[in-house]
Amino acid sequence: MAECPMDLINELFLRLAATTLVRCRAVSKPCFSLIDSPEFISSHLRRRLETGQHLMILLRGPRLLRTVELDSPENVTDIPHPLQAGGFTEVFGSFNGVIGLCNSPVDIAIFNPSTRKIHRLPIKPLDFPERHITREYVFYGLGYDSVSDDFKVVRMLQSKLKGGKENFGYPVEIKVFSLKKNSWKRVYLMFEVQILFIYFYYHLLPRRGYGVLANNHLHWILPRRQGIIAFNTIIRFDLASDDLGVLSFPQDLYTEDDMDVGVLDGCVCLMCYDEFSHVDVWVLKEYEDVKSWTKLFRVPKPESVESVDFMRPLIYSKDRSKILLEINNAKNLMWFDLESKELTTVGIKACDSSFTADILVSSLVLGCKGDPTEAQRRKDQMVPKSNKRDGFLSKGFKLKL
Amino acid sequence: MSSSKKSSDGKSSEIEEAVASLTMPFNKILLTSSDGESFEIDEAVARKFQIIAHMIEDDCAGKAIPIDNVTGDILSKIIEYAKKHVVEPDEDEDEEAKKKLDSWDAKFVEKLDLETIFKIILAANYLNFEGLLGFASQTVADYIKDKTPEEVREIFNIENDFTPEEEEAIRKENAWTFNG
Repeated sequence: MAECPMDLINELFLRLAATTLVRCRAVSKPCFSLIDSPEFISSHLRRRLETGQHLMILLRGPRLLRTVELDSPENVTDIPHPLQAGGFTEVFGSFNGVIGLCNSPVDIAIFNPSTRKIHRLPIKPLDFPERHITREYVFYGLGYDSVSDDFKVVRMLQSKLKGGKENFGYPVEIKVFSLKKNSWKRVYLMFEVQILFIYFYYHLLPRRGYGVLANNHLHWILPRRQGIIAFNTIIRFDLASDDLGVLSFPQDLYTEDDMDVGVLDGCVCLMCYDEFSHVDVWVLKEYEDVKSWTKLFRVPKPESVESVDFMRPLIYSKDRSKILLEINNAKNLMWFDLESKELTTVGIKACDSSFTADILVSSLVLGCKGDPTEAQRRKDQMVPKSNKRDGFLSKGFKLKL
Repeated sequence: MSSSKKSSDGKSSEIEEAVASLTMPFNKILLTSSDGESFEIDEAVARKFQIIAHMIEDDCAGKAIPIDNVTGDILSKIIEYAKKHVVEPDEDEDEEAKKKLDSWDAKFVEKLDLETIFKIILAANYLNFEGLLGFASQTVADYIKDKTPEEVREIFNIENDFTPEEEEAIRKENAWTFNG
């Protein structure tokens, strides 16, 4: 058989999942160069997004990550947490195959589970002493700025100590990391946004502190609290201009007691909970048009759960008749039929309530070079010991015992 | 792409007649393979091959077209597939027809060995027959997805031009995916 021309290999490789391509790097030098080339990485990503092929559910557990093929939930792969430090690693965001990991506000990384490439962010100290912050007051967001083709990580902290330099409210620090620059930058708030932090916001569920990416912005909810904070606010971080602002939404929902922000099909959505009864999902159809907020559907509380504390829509089915929902945690991943209003559980083996879920794209983004610190460690181990005495002894002198 | 067979009933303007004669599906075209085998096929089927469709548009298609790069056995398989796919059923409108065709496709490729599928890909690429190229490529992609680098080399007859040290370094970079 004649050798296969590279342009056909290219076409075949574009159809493979990222995990297979990592292996194919070892086939030959042309294959290696192809798979590592930025052009191929882009084309491959584009093909994945266009065809919806190789989409995965990412299960985020306390000790490991698990990927499940969306089309064949019996195909499961376990990935040990690359940022393990004896504690509980948080996972936030998922875009184009890349996710965010953190052990603490100063131990953050971005990671591609398909290629297992990890990029550890440089440490950026906090403005506030550690005793002034706790987990509930930290917000994270993994974003992608399409204007500069750059991944960004936003870290927001609110000190629980009132006062500070501005002398009102609870001081907040916002810093944003740019992958292209590999550095952090401080974000300065406009007064109109700063005054929001007169109140103290905390998220009992750490997940609520994770930013939601849509329309080149990261969104978080600053929830209302009965008797303390009158209204819900949605803040949004513009990834192109690095500015923090506010997103308008229907007035009726300003005093909703339990609300979350999410994203469905690239549009911002709001989930309003009536925890023992149902969840309403509103969608912002046109980003800059507040009038385009539409109540999309109502999900009845499934019988298998006592109450709905947290719900996220993940993705539409291929024929768009159903939506995949996560209710409370990954144990309750269900397809919601928009017409019949029925909920069908996705049975994933060995998936208990300690897992949370997100959708993951199979991509080569960030490249295939694995873990650079691991490579350095291997290199260090291989350095020959330059001990002169050893050398002397090894040359024909044998110890007679 | 396959031409529409509808002709307007009632009014029959000169233009419509001219168009009808150009796209009349009953024209036959003769394809000759590199090893001299001849295949007479409907124009609609021949149009699935973009290079032929372009030749017909540009009026350089005679009645007999030589296909120099493809042998008869492969060409016959390609024509078999093209005939089945002259009209592609709409997934939304005719689910039943789509399912039947998918099933036929699966059986079609099941009977072929990898080397033949490979030659079909090369030929479909040459003829610019997108539908078959996509289908055959996907079949091969599915086949190699769990293969080791050695197996992939063998399948595509690719030379291993790495030094042992170079290959070792690449395997170490992603040790988790190379078993053993």
